[in-house]
Amino acid sequence: MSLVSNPALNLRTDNPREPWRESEARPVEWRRTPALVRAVALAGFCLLIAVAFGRVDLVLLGVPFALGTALLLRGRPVQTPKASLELAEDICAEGATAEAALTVTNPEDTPITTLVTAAADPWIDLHTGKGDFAERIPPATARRMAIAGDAKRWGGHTLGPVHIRSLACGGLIETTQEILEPKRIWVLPVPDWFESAETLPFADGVAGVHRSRRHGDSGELAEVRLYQPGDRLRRIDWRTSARSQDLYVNATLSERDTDVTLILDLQVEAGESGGIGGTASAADLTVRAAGAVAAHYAIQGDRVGCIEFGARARRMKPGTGRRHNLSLLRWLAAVEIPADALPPSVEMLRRQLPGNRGLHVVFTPLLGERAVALVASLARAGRPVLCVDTLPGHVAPPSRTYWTPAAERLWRLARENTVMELREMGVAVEAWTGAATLDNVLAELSRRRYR
Amino acid sequence: MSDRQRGLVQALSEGTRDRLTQGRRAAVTWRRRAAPTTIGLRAVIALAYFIAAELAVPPDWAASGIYIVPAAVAALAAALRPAGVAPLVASVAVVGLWLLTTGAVDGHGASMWTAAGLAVLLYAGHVSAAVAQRFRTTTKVDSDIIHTWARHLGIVTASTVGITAVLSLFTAYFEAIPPAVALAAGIVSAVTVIYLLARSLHNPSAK
Repeated sequence: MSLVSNPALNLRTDNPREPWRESEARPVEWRRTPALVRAVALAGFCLLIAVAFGRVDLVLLGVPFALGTALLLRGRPVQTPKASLELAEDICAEGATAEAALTVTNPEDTPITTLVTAAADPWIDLHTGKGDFAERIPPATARRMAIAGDAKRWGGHTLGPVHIRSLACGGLIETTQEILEPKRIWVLPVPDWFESAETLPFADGVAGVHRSRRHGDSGELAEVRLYQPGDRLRRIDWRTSARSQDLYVNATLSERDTDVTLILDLQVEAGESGGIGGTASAADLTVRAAGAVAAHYAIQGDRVGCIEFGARARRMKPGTGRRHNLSLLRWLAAVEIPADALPPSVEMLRRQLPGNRGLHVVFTPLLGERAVALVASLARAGRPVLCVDTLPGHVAPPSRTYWTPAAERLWRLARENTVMELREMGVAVEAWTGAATLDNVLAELSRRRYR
Repeated sequence: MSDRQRGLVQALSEGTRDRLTQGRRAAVTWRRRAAPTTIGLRAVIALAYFIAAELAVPPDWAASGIYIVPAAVAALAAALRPAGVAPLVASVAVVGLWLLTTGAVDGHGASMWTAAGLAVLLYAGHVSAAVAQRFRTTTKVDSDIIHTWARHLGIVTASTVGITAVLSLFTAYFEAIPPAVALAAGIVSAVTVIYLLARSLHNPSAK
């Protein structure tokens, strides 16, 4: 028996509600409005009463309605207008304008009025007159109209659906409402400004800007040693050689690139996001800080990869350069923190990490035991870990009872204790405050490495 | 179960405060987005129906508060809900009052020019409601739409004035026509006009 004809698969469910079926879109067609019915009714009423009572003044009351309706209905459209919605660009930056182009074509020889009502994601603030407007479209022409708004926060947002209704003959007839499907627009996060002058430990790539432990050609002096066959003559330190009667050369450390793995703790959200100009939530700080660090190192020439420590456990392969930086911002824009998601596994994340000893930067608000366990396990495994605290300063639990302030104080003390324990394990923990935030902790990491 | 302990009065006051805050925010947003053109159209609807209602009755009725309040309410209802039944109700009420007062109240004669003014006002309210019926108060309206509306209203007003003038000039001639002929001609004319207008109610794109 085939699966299709298996009666067990066609049994009714226990749910008394009918299964939801997508209703077919209603065809767009012209129809009369209440105004046309009103005009006809008033004209007929006045004329009939005028005849019945022999009142010429009532004829006058009906004249404008009959005359005006006849004038308006001279050019009555038959074909309905065609509408289409296209995005100008499906990517924009936070604070920039997200825009879609709506094109309405009027195939008839009479002008029509098109009423456009657009909806948008709460994070897209539609400009006044760009989401709810009425335009007159001349006969046999197409008009392109802009639906635009300010993108206030990173993420995947929808522009639309757009409801379109056309009116003709002075509002006496109208089309049924046409609904254009919403378009998805990706709003890239605008990273905070970050610049670091510190070199990274464990630089073991091919060529880069960080001082490595291996000797090679560069300007970073490692030692002055006796000349060996194979050393370049221009490396000879003539001053030392003249003093000691032996040939000495300047040995240098090579400069190499490294792997930077960004781990984003996306288990819980804390605080309320106010968008690009408002307060930042934990997810906002995490994404913007990760974007800043990634941009700095990727453009500098290091290989930057990203891993989510959350329900979706996404991973982005390491890469370098400006193109990779853009891809990374697009990846960051797709970050989501679903409610009631399954908790992520520390072991699973550790298995995803590359085997080399590059720098691991964990962006976490340190609000859960799993996040602390992750950081601790990375440190115990001997990986260089930098923990960036992304809990916004303004975040506080809601005041519920008399004991809330005391409970909050206890919680903050416990959190400080956790941070101190992590530091004792060799993890550099630093709160994110923007440019040069991480210089001190990076310098400390490098010192430990070369101690 | 909430862990927050609060009394009924406190809950009510907090709820009221929240609603007031939301209402204030909504009012600020509306004020920022309100479109003057659409609001102007609605003002025209309200004014046209209110003045027509005042014109349709004798002056002593028009000055009484008992009459002004319902007239203003009807006009406001038509302006606030131009797509609803309010404009039709207001129009029928004005025509009914005109019919009633000119026939029953002494000293309030059915002047041709008053009827013409009433007709133009009713049509202005009707055609403004037709244009504004689908617009929100925040809908930004193209200026061409307003130009077309004003031109149409001007043409119909001029035509009505012309017809009134013709009817006024030939009143004596119309009175000379025998009543039976006038009645028959009136019925034929009325039925023809009603038939032609009723045909327009059919949907052409549904064929």
